[in-house]
Amino acid sequence: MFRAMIRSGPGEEILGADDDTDKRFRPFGSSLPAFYLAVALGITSDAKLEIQGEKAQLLRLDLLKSSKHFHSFRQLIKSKWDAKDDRAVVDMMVEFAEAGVRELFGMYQKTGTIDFYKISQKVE
Amino acid sequence: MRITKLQAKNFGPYRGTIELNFSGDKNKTLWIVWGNNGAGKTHVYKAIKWCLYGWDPSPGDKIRPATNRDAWDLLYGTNLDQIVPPDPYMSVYLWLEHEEEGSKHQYLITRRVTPVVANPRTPAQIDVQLEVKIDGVKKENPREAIEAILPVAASQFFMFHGEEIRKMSLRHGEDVKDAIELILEAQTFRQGRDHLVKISRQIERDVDEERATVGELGNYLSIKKQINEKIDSYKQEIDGIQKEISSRKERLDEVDRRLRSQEASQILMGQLDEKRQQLNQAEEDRTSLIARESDLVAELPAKLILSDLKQVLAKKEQRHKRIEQQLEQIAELRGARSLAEKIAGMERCICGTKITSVEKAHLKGELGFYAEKLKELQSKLETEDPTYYEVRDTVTAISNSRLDFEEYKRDRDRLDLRIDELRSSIKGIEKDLAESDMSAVRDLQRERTGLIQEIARKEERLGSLNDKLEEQAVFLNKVEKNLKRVDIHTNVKKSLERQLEIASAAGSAFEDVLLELTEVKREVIEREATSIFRKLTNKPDEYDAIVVDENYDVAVMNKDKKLLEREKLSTGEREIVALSFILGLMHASEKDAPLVLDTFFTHLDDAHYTNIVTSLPDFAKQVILILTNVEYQNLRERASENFLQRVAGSWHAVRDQGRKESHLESEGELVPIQVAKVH
Repeated sequence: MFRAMIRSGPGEEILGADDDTDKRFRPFGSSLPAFYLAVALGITSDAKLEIQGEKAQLLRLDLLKSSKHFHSFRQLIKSKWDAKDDRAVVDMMVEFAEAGVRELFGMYQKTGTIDFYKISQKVE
Repeated sequence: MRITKLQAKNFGPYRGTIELNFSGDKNKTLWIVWGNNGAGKTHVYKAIKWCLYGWDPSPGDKIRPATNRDAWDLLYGTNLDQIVPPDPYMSVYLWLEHEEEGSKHQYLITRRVTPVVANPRTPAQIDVQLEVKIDGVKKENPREAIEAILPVAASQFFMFHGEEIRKMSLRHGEDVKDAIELILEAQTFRQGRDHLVKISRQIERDVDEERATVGELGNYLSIKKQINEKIDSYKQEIDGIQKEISSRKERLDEVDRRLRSQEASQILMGQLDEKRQQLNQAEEDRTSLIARESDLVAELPAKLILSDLKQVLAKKEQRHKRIEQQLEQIAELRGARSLAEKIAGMERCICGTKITSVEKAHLKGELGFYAEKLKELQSKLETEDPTYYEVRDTVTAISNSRLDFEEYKRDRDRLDLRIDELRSSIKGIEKDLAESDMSAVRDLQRERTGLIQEIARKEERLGSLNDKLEEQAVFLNKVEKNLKRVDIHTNVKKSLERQLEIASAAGSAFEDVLLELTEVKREVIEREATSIFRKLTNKPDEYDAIVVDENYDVAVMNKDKKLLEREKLSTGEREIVALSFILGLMHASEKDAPLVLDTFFTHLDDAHYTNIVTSLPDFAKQVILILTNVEYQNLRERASENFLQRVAGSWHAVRDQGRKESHLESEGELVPIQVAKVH
C-alpha cells in the first residue's frame, strides 16, 4: 500500500515495468513521510494491527532512527505504552502504521489523492 | 652414525644389566659377540634392533610402528623365557654418535617396558616407552629423531641374521625393488604425492564452488544486457521526441510570427502573448506552492501526536510539581533548623535578653522535630523523571512549528482560480482569432492549437521517459556492483584452475622422478655391488659383475657378458651375491649405518670365508659380528693380522646352566698372541 502512494524508493522489480502508473502524480515524495503519517493516524485513532514475522525487516531502521520525528515518537511510545527499548518502539510504530496506512490508502483509492488539509483538521 | 654403547636390563636371557662399550679407536671398525647356541649372543643384536625400531623387521617386511605385542613376544615368546621367569622391567639404552655438517651429536635412545598391572597377562597390560635425547635434550617425537639419522633400509638390510641373507639369496624381484625404494626413502616421496593428491582434491572442490558461483553471477550479465537495451531504447525514444518537440516548437514560432504579421490579428496576438506570460507565471507559482505542501506533510505527523504528547507531559508535570513542592518544604525546614541551631548556641538574644534554660530546652525539642520531619520528607521525596525535560522541549518545539494548511489551501485555490481564468481568457482570444475573417489566420490558429497539444503530449512522454531512464540507471548501478563480484570470482576460479594444473603436474612428476631416481640408484647399486662381489667371489676369473635386471632380479654376469641363472649358482655363491647386493645398497645409501651380521658365515667355503674376512673391516664404518663358537674359532684361525688389528673389542656370551641365565664376558681387543693361545 505504501509503495502505491510514493513517487520514489525501493520496491521495484529489477527491470521495472513499462506500463506502471505515472509516479509523478503520487501523493508522497518518499516512504518516510508516508510511514510517519500512517503511524500518527494509527496513534490518533488508537488502532494497531499485528504483523507476522520480523517487523524491523519491513523498513530501513537506520534511516528511521536518524529521521527528524523519531525522537518525538519514541518519547510518546515509551511514556504512553511502556516500550522498553528502541526495538519495541519500532515494532509498535510498524503496528500503528499498518492500521494508519489503510486509512490513507482508502482515501487515495477513492479520490486519487490524499487530502492533507482534511487530515490536518484532526490536529487539536 | 656409530653405536658407542649398549646397555640392556633384563633383556632375553640376561638378568640384571649388560653393557657393551663400542667407543674407541675409529680405525678399529670390528666388534665381535660370540658364544654357544642359546647363550644369548643373538639377543645383543635383538637389543639393538628393538631399541631402535621396537621390533625386528626382515627384508620384505613393510615398515610399521612398533606395538606392545612386539615387546611382549620378546619378554615371553622364547624358549628361554619358559625356563627363566620373565621380568617385565625390560629396558635397552643405546648411545649413538652422529656427525652432521661437521659437528658431532650424542644420541641416547631408551626403550623400556613397564607393567601396568602386577602380573601382566596380555600385551595391553604392559607399557612400552621410547625416549630420545640429543645432546641431553629430550625430543618430542622420538621416532622421527631416529628416522632422521638412520637410512630407512637399515632396519631390514643392514642389521640381519644369517638366515635372512639365505632367504634373500632365494628371493629377488619385488624385494630388491623394495630395497632400492627404501634406500631412496620412496615412502616419503609417496607421502608427499598423497599429500599433493589431497591438496588437488581440495582445490578441485574449490574450483567447482567458484565455477558454480561464477555461473550464478553470470545471470547478471544478461540482466545488464537487458538494462542496457532498455536504456538505449529509452534514450533513442527521448532523442526522437526531443527532436520532434524542437521541430514542432520551430513550427509554432513560425506560425506565431505569421499570425502576428496579420494586421487584423495583431492586437489579439498582443493580448494573447500577455495572457500566456501571466499563465506561465501562475503555473510556476503553483509549482512552488506544491513544493510547500511536502514540507507541511512532513510536519503533519508530529502535529497529529501533539495532543497525546501533551497528555504525557501533563502527567510528568504533575509529578515534577509535587517534587518541587517537596523540595521547597525541605528547604524551608532546613532554614528553620539552621536558625534554631544558631539560637541554641547563643547565650543572649539579639535584643540582649538572656536565653533561659526553659527556652533552650524548647529549642532542643524543636531541633528534634525538624530533624524528624526532614527525615520523613526526604524519605517521601520522589525522583525526578529523566524524560520530563526532553518531553517538555519536544512539545514546545512541535507547538512552535507552523502548520498552516488553511493558508496553503487558500493560496492554492486562489492560484487554481487564476490559472482557470487565464486559460479561459486565452481560449476566448484564440476563439476570436479563429473567428476572424481571414482564412489564413484561421488555418494558422488551428495549426497552432494542434502544435501546442502535440508538444504538451510529447513533453509529458519525455518526463515519463526520463523517470524511467533514471530508474534503469539505479538498477544498472546495482547490477554492476554484482558484476564486480563476478570478476573477482572469475579471477579466483582461474587462479584455482592454474593451481590444480600445477598440482596435477607435480603429482605425476613425483612418480616420474621416483622412477628416474630408482634407475639411477639401481646403476649405483650395481656398480657398488659388483665392486664388492669381485672382492668376495671365489671365481674372479669367471664372474664379471652383478646385474639388477628390469624385473629387479639380481643376477651374475660372467666374463662373456652372459647372465647366469640363479639356480646354477651354489648356495654359498647365492649368499655372496645377496651380501654383495646388500653391501652395495649400504654404500649407495646417503646415510651411514652400522652393519650388524648375526650367524652369517655358516655356508661359506674357505675361499669365500677368507675373502670376506679380508674385506669385512672395510665394509662399513662399524661392523658388529655375532658369531657361534664354531664361526668364531674359524675366524680366529683364518683371520689375518690385519683383520685382528681392526677388531676393537669382543664379548663372550656365556650361559650359566645352574642359574639358568646368561652373562657377557668382555675379552677386549683380539691380538695374534691370543690366537695362538686358542690354537
